[in-house]
Amino acid sequence: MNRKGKIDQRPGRALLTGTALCGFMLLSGSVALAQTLEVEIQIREHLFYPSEVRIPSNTKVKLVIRNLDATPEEFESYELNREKVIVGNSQGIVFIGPLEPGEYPFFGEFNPRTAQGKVIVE
Amino acid sequence: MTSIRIFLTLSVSAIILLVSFLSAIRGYRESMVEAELLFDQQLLEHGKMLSLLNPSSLAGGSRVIQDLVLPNTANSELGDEMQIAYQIFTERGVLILRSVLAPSTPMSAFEVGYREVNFSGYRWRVLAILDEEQSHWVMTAQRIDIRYDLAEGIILDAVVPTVLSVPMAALLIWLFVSFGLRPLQTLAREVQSREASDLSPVRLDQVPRELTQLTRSINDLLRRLQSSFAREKRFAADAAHELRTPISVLKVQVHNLLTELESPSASVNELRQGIDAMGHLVEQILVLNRTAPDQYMVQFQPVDLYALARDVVSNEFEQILQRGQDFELEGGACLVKGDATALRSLLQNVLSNASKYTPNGGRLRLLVEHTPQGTRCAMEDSGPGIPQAFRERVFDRFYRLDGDRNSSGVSGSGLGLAIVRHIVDMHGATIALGQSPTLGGLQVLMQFPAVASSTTTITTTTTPGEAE
Amino acid sequence: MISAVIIVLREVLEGVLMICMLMASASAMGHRLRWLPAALVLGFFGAFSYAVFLEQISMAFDGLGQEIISASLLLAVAVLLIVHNFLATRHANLPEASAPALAVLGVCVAASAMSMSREGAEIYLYVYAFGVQAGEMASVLSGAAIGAGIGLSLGTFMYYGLRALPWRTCLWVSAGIATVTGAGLVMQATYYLGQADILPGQAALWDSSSLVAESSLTGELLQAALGYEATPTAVQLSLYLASILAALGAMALARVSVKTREYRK
Repeated sequence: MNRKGKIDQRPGRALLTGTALCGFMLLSGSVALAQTLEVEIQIREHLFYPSEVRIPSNTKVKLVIRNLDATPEEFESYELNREKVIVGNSQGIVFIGPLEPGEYPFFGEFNPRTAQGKVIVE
Repeated sequence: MTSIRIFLTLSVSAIILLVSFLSAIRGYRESMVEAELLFDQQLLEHGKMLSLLNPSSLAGGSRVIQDLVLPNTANSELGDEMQIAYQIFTERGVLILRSVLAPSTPMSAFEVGYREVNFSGYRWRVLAILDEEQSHWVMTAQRIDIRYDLAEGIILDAVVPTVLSVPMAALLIWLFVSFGLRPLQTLAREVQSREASDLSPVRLDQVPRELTQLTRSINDLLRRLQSSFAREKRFAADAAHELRTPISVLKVQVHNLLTELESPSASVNELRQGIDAMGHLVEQILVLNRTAPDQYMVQFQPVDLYALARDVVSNEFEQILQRGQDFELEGGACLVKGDATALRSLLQNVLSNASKYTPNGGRLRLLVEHTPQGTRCAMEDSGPGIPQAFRERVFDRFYRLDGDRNSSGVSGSGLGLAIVRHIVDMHGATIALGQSPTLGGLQVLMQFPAVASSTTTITTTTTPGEAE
Repeated sequence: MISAVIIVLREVLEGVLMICMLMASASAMGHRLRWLPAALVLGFFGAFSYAVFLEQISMAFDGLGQEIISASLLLAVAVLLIVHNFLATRHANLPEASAPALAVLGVCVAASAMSMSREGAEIYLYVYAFGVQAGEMASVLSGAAIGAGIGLSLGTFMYYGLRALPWRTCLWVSAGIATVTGAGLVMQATYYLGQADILPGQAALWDSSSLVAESSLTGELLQAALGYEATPTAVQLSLYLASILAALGAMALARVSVKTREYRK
């Protein structure tokens, strides 16, 4: 189960492995997607877009956090136990879940006043 | 190992830092809450004012009015004026009026209260209220970052001095702690700087209460040490002194025995030699005690070492002649600050040692000369010398090369070089044993420090000295 | 300002408490603090290079470099703390022996420098980006000074508190602190490994955030000291306990070897 998830995370490697694997991925695509949903969050002017991320419960989700500001930001959440520094004009990957339904706030530790958001698990 | 000064400075600074910083944080937080309340108040007032406008009297549709720009008196240096975005809706949620900054969609949910939301690229604090007739929704909003910057700008002015004052406080603490610990350093210096022989009590002006007991204990210890030193020295001197009479008696008795016996046996001769050796040993012990540093150092006077050497040589010349040794004395008048009796004993020991351990017909050379560092005195011989490994040990009391089976067949007490070292140390001179470059045997090289003033008169001892 | 205080205090506290514990423990084992400058220089250098190359590090390992490096540093320090416990128990009574002495100094330097690299990089990044680039100097610098000052003061108290104990007690207490600190580091490493999808995500065993929230001051302190986690998963809890057991096991092993050595004498 976990292995399939990993294949999905790494498109670069998947490209290298050729068409046979692509076919396999297409076949198992629905299953793999259900396990590692990918969600992009952007940081602009120290704000999260979107500031509310809705994801299904009991699913692993790959958050791609794209920092479009020149300054670094630290994606942090006590509820999710996640902490990652994202340098200015770059992106970072954070895996979350599987989670119980509920609200999981996150914030940018370097700009906690404005960079606020939450993951809503449904 | 641990420094009281560092401990006091660090711990006191840490306490001050914690107290002042924690109170600064507390003050900061409370002020921020106050500021938030003030800004919220502002939102509410604007909302109420807008609800009094009676929007239904205005032309319908969504007409855009210019922003309400409030002059900001408190923070003109920031250049940022607190702008309020607002929207007015009908009770069914149709937008009838908004400011330029406000979006055309509702800034907040239609629920009375404060909320924080993102729009137009910023995070805003939005207040939604219903007017008194419950017919219109009024929403007013302020940018959170500006609210924060304005509030922080004021509060920071109060916090920064606190932060800057702590390093200054730490510096002052360091200085005062150092000052407070000065009596301790004075005491340490007082104890450390004294001569090894100086056992007089420590005297400090204004001993702080914490150090009184320590000073008292040190002085007590010094007093006991002094009396026990004196006792020990007196004992050795007294014992040696007391032994002289019986030894003299023994010498006379042996002399009598030798004259009484017509053909004295070898053992009687050995007995006589043994008694002579014992007498010599006792004399040496007396010299060693008489030259204990504390009494003699104060009496140091300039002494001409060359003249002294000539005097000693004339005393020892008989022994040298007997052994058929060739002796040279070189150099010229050299002043050394010291005690004439002790220096005489020093030269005597060095010279008789050289003569003793050099075979019959060997060569001896004594040199006393000026060098830039002071006075150099070198005794050289053509004897067997002392192997490198033993050169330090021969200075120990009662140490003799090869123990009692000394191959030289010369009797001795083993105190000679100990006395030499003792006297050399006392005069602040150095002594080194080496190989004579000219004669091939032992070289005893002594270096005396230069005499500070040359005006002092020369006191050469012309009397035979106290070497009884 | 308050966010600067929180960020800097949290990072400084973690590092300073461990370094002060090592300072006290090494002193109790009879070492002077000569190793400290080396550790500080290495630590500053490590922090600086970590911060400067953070982007490249993040991009490594398919974008999971940061997590992998952080987790490795955390686990390495946790292992070094276990080694510290072994040495502190075993060589408590022969401080001047040369090989164990070097081992102690090595552990102190390596653990301090690695811890400083990780903590320091974040502080540097924050202060540089917001103080220098974004021009919020007064706010960020005073916040950073307050945070660092509080952290260092607490460290000072800890050091002198430990030094005030008799040396044997000091070593025991230090070993106890090293045990929980190490477990806390392992706990932190599990977050990074979970974030990188190396450890499986699991449902939490319990939720004690209503009791002590992680974001509260108590929660922050507990997290810095013990690695407090309000919603631990089974994997996290077992790794945490395993780390404590390993530290205690190392001490027990050291006791046994000391006993046999004494017996042989």
